[in-house]
Amino acid sequence: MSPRPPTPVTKAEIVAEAKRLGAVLVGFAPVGRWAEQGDLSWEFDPQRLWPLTKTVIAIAIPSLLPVTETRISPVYRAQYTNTNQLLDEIAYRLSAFLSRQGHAAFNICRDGYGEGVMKIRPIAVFSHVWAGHYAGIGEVGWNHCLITREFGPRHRLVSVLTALELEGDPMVEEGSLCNKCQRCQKACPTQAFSGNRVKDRRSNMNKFACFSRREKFKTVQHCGYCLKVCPVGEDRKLYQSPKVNHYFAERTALFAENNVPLDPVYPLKL
Amino acid sequence: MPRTVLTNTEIIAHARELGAEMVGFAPVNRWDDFAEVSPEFRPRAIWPLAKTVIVIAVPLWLPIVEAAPSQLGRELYIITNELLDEAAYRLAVFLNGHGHAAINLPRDGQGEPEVLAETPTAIFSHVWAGQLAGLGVVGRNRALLTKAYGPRQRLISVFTDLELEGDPVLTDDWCGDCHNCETICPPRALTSPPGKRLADFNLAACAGEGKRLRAAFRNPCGFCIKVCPVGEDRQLFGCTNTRKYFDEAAVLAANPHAPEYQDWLHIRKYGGFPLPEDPISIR
Repeated sequence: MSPRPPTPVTKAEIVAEAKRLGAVLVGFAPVGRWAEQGDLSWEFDPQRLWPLTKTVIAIAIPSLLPVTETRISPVYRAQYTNTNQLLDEIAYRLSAFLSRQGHAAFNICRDGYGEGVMKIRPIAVFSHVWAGHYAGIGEVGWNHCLITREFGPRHRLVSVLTALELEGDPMVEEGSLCNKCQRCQKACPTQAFSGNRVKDRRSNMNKFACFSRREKFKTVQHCGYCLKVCPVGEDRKLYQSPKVNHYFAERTALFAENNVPLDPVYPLKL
Repeated sequence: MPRTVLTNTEIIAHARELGAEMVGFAPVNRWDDFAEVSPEFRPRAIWPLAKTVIVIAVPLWLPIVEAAPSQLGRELYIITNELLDEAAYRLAVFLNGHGHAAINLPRDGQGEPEVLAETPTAIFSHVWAGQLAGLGVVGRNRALLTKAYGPRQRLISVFTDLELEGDPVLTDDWCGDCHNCETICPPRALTSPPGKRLADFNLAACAGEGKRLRAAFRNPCGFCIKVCPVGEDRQLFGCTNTRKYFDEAAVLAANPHAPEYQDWLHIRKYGGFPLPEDPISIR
């Protein structure tokens, strides 16, 4: 049983299908960029995961700023869950779109871990952040998130691996989005980031420190300070929230009173 | 509500819009004609108004299936289940909107794995429905084998009171005598009595393995679907050598860095817990 011959598919058609399925940012990374750029070890090269990979299609959808600003809250958690499900569906259906036309493709789920696994191995099978970097939809910033022109680091990512060769999108010029202001480092409740902004391209990140916070807030999990304080992103203008310094003042105010840190908006012990 | 005429073609187009890759139609009398499913599991016993069963399938990607057990495989299972349940529900609502009563049956669902020990049967067999709707043929491993994906797909069904022409039931016999599924099954849940085309299935053994992998966030097992040589997806994904699955343990025991297995080892390593009692290749 041999498959039908492949039908030609253009980048424009793939982008249109991805957007029809709900994608907002879509970029294409030729697989050679992983080795050329040398940011990751061979273990995390897409061809290690699937030797036939020729192109990685990176897809992002935004995390909405006013929700992200609520930091540890049920609405933030709900946004996280909903965007994850949508991303997985987009990437799965885009893989089916390519495979049914004779171009082998499959989706790598958004960062997925079984509960408690991050305590022993806080690394995902594949870095969607670096895929987004090589696909030109943003650059990896000081906080190890993909910083995009549209949403800063406030988005979620997923990837499709395909055996179809496609022209890569131009990568974002280094330093053009993240100027290493280090607000993420200052805001991080776990001091997960460290480094020298003159010498280092991006911070050192202690993932165990970062994930320790998720363990602490089991029911509402996600922290996201390093996302909300980032001044980059056209979403700041859209949501009329251009300034970031009040985030720092808020934290001080919440912790000041009798050392009983209650959030008046979401009455949840911090 | 006025009944609007709907054709098979219109229903297929809508199902595909909702994410279905394969769609087939089975008139309910086929369950009586073929008599492979016991009477209490036939569509009219479950819902007396049923006239046609619409069966929908979505594929599982071979490069992920063959790396099992992995958390990535577990996520693929969850993604496809969610997509199927939503597509079937929305297809039922679409039919209702045109005046045709319809209900979706959930994709195979059991609560915790323990439920299988007490009630080792789903409410309805989507696998037999898939065969009666012409999507494929039931294989030795009791999965539906399709031309495009072999046994590597997930299935769901919609019952409707709308009479629709059935798709031709396939007479091809893709499932031969390779017994790969039976040989590879880690808990030995499949055993073929001599001369029988379908294996006897020890569901408790299969469910026990599923439970063990689930505790590590690395279910399902799926060895019986990865080894099946049927399916155009084997060529599409460049995985035509099924011998590789059987050689794996010996090759890796001799050389844990054997390059041809490093992709699977990588996928198994992340996102779930190690399985220390397993051979090095699975761990």
